[in-house]
Amino acid sequence: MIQKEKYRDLIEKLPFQQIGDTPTVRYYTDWKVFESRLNLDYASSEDKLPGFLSKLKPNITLGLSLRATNVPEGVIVEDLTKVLEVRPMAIAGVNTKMQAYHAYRWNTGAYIKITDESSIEDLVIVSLGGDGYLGHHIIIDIGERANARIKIIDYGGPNASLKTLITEMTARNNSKLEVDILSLYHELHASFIQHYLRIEDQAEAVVRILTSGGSMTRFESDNLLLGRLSKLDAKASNVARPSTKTDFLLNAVHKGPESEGFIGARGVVLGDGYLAQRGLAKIDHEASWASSEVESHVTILGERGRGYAVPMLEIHTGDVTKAGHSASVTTIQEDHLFYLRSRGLNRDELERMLITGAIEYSSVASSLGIDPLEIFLI
Amino acid sequence: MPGLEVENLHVRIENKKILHGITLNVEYGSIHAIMGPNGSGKSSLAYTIMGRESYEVEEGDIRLDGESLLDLPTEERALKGIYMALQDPPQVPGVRLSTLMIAAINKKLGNLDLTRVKDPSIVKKMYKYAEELNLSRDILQREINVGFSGGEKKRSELLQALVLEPKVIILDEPDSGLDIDGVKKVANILKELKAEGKAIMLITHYARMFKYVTPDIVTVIIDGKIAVQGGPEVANLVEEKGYAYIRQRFFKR
Repeated sequence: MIQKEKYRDLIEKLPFQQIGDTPTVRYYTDWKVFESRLNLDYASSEDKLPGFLSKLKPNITLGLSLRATNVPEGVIVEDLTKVLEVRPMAIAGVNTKMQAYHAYRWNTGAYIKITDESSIEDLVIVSLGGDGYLGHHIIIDIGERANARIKIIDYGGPNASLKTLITEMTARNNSKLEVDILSLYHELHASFIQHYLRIEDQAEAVVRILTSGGSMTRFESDNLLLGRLSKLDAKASNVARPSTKTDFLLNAVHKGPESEGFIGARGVVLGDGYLAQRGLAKIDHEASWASSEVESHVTILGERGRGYAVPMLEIHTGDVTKAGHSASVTTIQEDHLFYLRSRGLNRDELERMLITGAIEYSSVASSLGIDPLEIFLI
Repeated sequence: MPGLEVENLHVRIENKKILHGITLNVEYGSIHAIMGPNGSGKSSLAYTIMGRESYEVEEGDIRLDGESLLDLPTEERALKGIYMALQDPPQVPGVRLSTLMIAAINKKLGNLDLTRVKDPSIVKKMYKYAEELNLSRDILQREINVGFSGGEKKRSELLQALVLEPKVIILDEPDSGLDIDGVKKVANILKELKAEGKAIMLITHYARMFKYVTPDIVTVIIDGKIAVQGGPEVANLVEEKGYAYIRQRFFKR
């Protein structure tokens, strides 16, 4: 309880964004949207997944409360509010107003332990928004030499509501993790999302992300390659639909020697949508002979759309195996259009192909068994 | 066989006239080389044939099998069977090379769903030609021209020509940026395409490729006009004497 009160104080004291969060000290997130919803009451009803996602059979659902059904062998699920031995925000830290807000207000949480050496084919976790504020906190501990495939469906319905979701994942030594994250929101929904992943010695993580929608979505995936020979392969697809705004960050921080990281993102902006697609690859001084690459490409299809691709590469050691970055923001330029038309395709087909291509980049849609364009059916 | 016919073509971009009465034919089963110095109008001719919007035809006609193409947009010309391999094709992040080829084939076949592979032989064909062009199969899964080397771009353009099976193939400087082995490879493929009956328009600065594949007709364009047209000996003349000589000799009144 004392801890909670401390967070309430921090909501007042901390800024929405720390200086240095971006090299340009620019605000890519429209924090006013969050500010205007901080006083929302807790939701009294939770959203329902759209039809095309209803075929997924969730094992763990976080809405107004926590529900767990058909949990596979090798997975232990506990109500985080009742687990005393783990401390939420231990990995995430509390450095900004929204983190403090989440830490103070989150109402539903799950502690998920994947036991050592177990092999989990598919663990489906669903986080639902509601008609007011909902805060979900998930801690996932993937045991040593375990092999886990996890799907996280994060959905926000048609209310002018607010959701905060923070996950803190640890891939222990020699474990293998594949995680698909779908974050899908209606136009009025606001979301503050942070996914933290700590990758230990010789552990390997494949992270796939697909985001779309929200009046303001702040999505951050922070991946710490902590262990020696740890590996990360992270790919994201972002679709800024008309009247939606997304500030997306995909980061890899290397602390483990000989760690390998790749982070890539593809985005499309439709109508008057807004997408800031940022990525940081950072190699710390202790991560000798690490390799890291960051890529970010955004295509603006809407005439009034805005898009930014901001990749950053920071290297604090002289011994690097490989480091590189690339980025582009393109509109459908005449030369693109001509090129694809010269293959027999018209503008509508080209646009559909660009949207589908950007969505397929992360392979989340195929992994969930949905058609890429079904995300427009919410 | 008529193939592609260009007749008295006058073209401008905005206020600048760039082609002045070009007339030439590219017959099926032949290679027609278009040579000329930088800025002479070679690529402009190719873009005009393909229907690029900024190229305005003031006078003349372009016909395929006797039918005028002038009123058709670029995609319709492609569907009629004209293919252009660009000199420097743009990057298209988010779209895989295989996705583009599958969509183009489906469109040509009239399939409504452009994404599905209805005939698995198409995939086999992609693999076969990729191998012939010394391209890794992985390139099919990569985004179009993103991170491609200069040579990979050229070979990818040629790969599409092979897979899409057009009637007329326009190649804009397919040899630039290729090493000698690459040039030989392209030349051999051109020979095969010619033997299959394709009409090939080969745009190039240099005659080096003609050591390995002999053009049937060579047209030299300078300042948007045809300076000289003839057999392979014209390419030899260009190689020997250079464009300054050609300009002086054939434009001298």
